[in-house]
Amino acid sequence: MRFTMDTDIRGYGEKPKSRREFFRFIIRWILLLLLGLFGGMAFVRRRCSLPGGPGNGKACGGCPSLAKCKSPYSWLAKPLGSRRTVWQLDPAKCIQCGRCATECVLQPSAVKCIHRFDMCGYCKLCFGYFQPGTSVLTSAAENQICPTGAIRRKYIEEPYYEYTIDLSLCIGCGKCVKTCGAFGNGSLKLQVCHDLCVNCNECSIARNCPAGAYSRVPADEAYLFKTS
Amino acid sequence: MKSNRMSEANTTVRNMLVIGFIAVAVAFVLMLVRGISGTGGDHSRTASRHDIDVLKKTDSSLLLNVKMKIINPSIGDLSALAVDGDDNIYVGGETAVEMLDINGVHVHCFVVAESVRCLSISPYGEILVGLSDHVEVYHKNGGRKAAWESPASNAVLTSIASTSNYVYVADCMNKIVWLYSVSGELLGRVGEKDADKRKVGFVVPSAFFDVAIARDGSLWAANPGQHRLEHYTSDGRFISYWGRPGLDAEGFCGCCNPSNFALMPDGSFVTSEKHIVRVKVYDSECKLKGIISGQEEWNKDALGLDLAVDSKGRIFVLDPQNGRVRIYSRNCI
Repeated sequence: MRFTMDTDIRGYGEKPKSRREFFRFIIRWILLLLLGLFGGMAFVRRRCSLPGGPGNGKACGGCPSLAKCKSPYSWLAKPLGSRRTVWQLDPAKCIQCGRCATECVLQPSAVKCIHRFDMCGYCKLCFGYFQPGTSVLTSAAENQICPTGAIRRKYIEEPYYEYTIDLSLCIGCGKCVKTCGAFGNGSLKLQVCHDLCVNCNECSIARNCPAGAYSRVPADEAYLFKTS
Repeated sequence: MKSNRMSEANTTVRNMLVIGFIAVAVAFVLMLVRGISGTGGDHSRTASRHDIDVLKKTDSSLLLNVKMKIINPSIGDLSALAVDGDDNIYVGGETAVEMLDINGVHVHCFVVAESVRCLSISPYGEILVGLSDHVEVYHKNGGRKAAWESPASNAVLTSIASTSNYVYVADCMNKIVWLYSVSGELLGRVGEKDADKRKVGFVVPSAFFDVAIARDGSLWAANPGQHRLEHYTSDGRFISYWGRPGLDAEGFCGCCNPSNFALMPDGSFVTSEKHIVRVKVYDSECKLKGIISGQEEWNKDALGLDLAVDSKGRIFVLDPQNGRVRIYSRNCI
C-alpha cells in the first residue's frame, strides 16, 4: 500500500491535516514506544532482584551472565551500561586443537599457556615439557614438546623441577597443555592474556574454535581456571 | 546465416555469464551467512590431532586371555576395594561400606562418618576404613570398634595394608607411609625423605599412593613419581625397588604411576595405571607377563582403579566411573 498524506494512519477516519501534524504524530508514537520499553526493562530488573525471582533476592548486577539467568526476559534486563566483558577460553572445554595460535588477529597470539603451580607435581619427567617417549631427560631442543622453547626447566632438588612459561615466546599452540593433561596433573592451561588481547567484537579464534570454548566473561573476572 | 550464428554465440555467452554470476552470488551469500552466524561448520574433523591416541593404543599381542565378570554394588561413588580371606568383596563409597559375595550378591552394608578413601581387611577379620585423615576400625557386622587419631593435621590417606603385627597407612599429602600397631598406636614413618642420606623418599605428585603386603609380611609401596614399586621390611627398612618410566607396556606411563597395585598369591604383581589406563601383570621377577585390560576397555578419563586379589588369584578391579567391580579370572594368566 502506498503511504500518502491522505492515508488514514490513525485508523479512525481522521486524516492528518499537514506534514507537520504527520511528523508530530510519528514522533509521539516513537516516544510512547520508548517509554514502554524503558518501563518494561525497569519492571523486569526489579522482578529479577525480588526474593523468589530469577535473581533470588539479589540484584543480578545487570545480568552480566545472561546465560545463567532463568528469566525469559533476561535480554530485556541487560542495562545499557552493563559490565565490560572480554573474551576468554574455558580450559574445561578446550581440546588444544592449535587454532588459538593460528586464528588470532595478533601474531603471536594473545592466547598463552599459564602454569598453575598449585596443581603441578614438579616432576622430573614432565610431559608438558618433554616429548612423549623421550629417553634422555635433557633440555635439548629435540626432547622438548614446545616448538618455541618457551618452557623453562629449573632444578629445585632431587627429583623436583620447576617449569615456568616465557610468555614472550609462547604462541598458544597448546601442545604442552595437551600432553600435560593427557599424562600429568593438567597444571598447564591456555588463557587469553588481556594485556595483549585487543578484545575484538567478533573474536576470530572464537569463530573458529571447534570446541566452542570461547565466551565473553566479565572483565573483572577475566581468567577461568579449571581446578583439578 | 552468419549473423544468426553470431547471435546464437552471443546468447550462449550471455547465458554462461548469467549462470556464472548467479553461482558467484550464491557462493558469496553462503559465505556471508556462514560468517554472520559464526558457526563456520564443524572443524572438529579437521582439527589437528596429537598422536596421543596412538600412544594409548594397546599392543594386542600382549593382551592376556582372561575372562571378565562384572558385579554392581548398590552404593554410589565407589572409591575403595578390598577382599577378605573368605573371598568376600568390600567396596567403599560415599559414607558407606558394602560387603558382597563373590557372585556379587549383597551381604550387608554399614554407614561411616565420611567418604571412604581406602579399605583393608586385617588378618583378624576387622575392616580398616581410611577416611580423609584417619583410620576407623569396624567389626565385620558393621559395628565401629575404634577410631584412630589422625597421624598429621594435613594427612590425606590413600591406602591401607595390614599384617598380624602392623598396619601401614599411605598418606599422599605427607608423602609417607605411617606405621601403626594393630591396636592403633603410631609406631613410625616408612620411606621418609632424608636429604643427609640422599634419600628422596616417596614422590607423590597426585592423590594416588598405594601399599600392599607380600606373602612374607614385608611391605611393598608404590613410588609413583619415580615410577616404581619399593620393597621394605615389615618394620620399614628399604630393601629394593623395581620399575621404570615409559610409555611402552613394560614401563609405567605418565607423571605418576602405578596408581594402584596388588600382590598375587604366587608373588606376581598386578598394577593399574592412569593416563594410559591399563591393568598389567608382572611376574615375581618383575618381568611383564601381559596386559589384562587396556585403554580401549575403559572410559577416557578413568582414574582410581583400585585393585585386590583373592585367595584363588582372581583379580578385582574397581571401575569407579561406572560404579562397578570387574573380576578377571586367573585361569589363563
